[in-house]
Amino acid sequence: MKHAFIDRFASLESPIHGLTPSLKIRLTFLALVLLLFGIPILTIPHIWHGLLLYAGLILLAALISRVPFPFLLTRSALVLPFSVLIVVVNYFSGNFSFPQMIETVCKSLLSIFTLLLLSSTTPFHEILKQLSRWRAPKLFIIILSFMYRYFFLLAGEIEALERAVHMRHSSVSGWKRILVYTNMISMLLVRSYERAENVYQAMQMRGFTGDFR
Amino acid sequence: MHIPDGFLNTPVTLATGGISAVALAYSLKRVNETIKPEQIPLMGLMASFVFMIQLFSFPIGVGTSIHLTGALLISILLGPMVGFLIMTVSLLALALLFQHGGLLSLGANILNMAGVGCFIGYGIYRLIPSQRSSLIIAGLLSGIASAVLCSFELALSGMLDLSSAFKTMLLIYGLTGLIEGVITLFILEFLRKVKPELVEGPG
Repeated sequence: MKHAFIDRFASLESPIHGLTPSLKIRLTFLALVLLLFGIPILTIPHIWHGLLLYAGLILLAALISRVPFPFLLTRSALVLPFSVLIVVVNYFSGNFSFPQMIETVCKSLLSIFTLLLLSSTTPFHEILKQLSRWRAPKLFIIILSFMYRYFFLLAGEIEALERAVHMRHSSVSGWKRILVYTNMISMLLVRSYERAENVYQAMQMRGFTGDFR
Repeated sequence: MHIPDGFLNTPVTLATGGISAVALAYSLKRVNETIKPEQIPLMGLMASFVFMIQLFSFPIGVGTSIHLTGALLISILLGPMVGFLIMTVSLLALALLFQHGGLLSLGANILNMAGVGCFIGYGIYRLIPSQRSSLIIAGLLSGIASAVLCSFELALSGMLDLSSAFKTMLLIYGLTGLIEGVITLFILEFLRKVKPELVEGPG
């Protein structure tokens, strides 16, 4: 079972990890607004200079944070299928010029890189703590923290289900495969539901009365 | 399809963000009024469940794979307001932790997936009495509604030429929606056999 598959680099130590979550969330938001809406307007004749400067700064931040580069790059590359598809469609319908194509792909890569840097230098529970300090609705934060708490267990359940399917149905293909997948999802749903019941009973035993406000 | 950052312009970002924020505030208010204590851990686990099924895509042949959004399923099991809340929470986590969709385009993604699935899809599901056909039609129509919304958001941002790409979008999304409807039907049939008390919820 892979335990820390989500924000596994968030607990490293570096000057970037040491910044307060509040500052990092604000900076990320500001950086994204600047990248997506600011740079294209402010640096209009030389958008490339703006983008290069941004890329330089964010790469520097990534270097300081000591989050492994291969991880950052492969994760950022996940956006490529979508962005390449969109720009290629636009290119062939005559909507985009070649430089526009490259610019759009670069912008989507850089923005995902920025977001990735936030989530791999700030533990998720710190982000939640900060959000609740900013008076985000209680119920919202509670659902988010429950969700985060149970990712790891559900990932384990999925792994077990996949192994079971693999052992019994490895040769199944086509439509039957969808049926198998459906049963897997349903089973996961049933197990999540039963776990929620158990969790609630445990919470009740510890004195939870339903008052979370 | 989760729209990443970098594909929507300022007005579209602000408009979709605004609509989603209002919808979220409304659903939070409604859920806060009616929530039962035992639903709190359930909502968290269901959010986790939605997160998981959005990550685990399955191959449908010819090199493509799809995944469910889960919006229709969750709305049927727990009601559309709770469903919308859960979907929003999962989409936020998917954007922050797995970079599925961007942070500034989150509003658009909430609208396209949570809004359409939980309100339009569920609404259609309730309109038609026979469960089999209603699920399939609800899936298909919410797929088409997602396609329309997504294409218009991209087109208004100058990222899509409607005349050439709209039909393809409709086809892909319609098909995905149809598959979602069929799979949701299968899941509900399975639940009826294994854990009937789950299906007889508020839906």
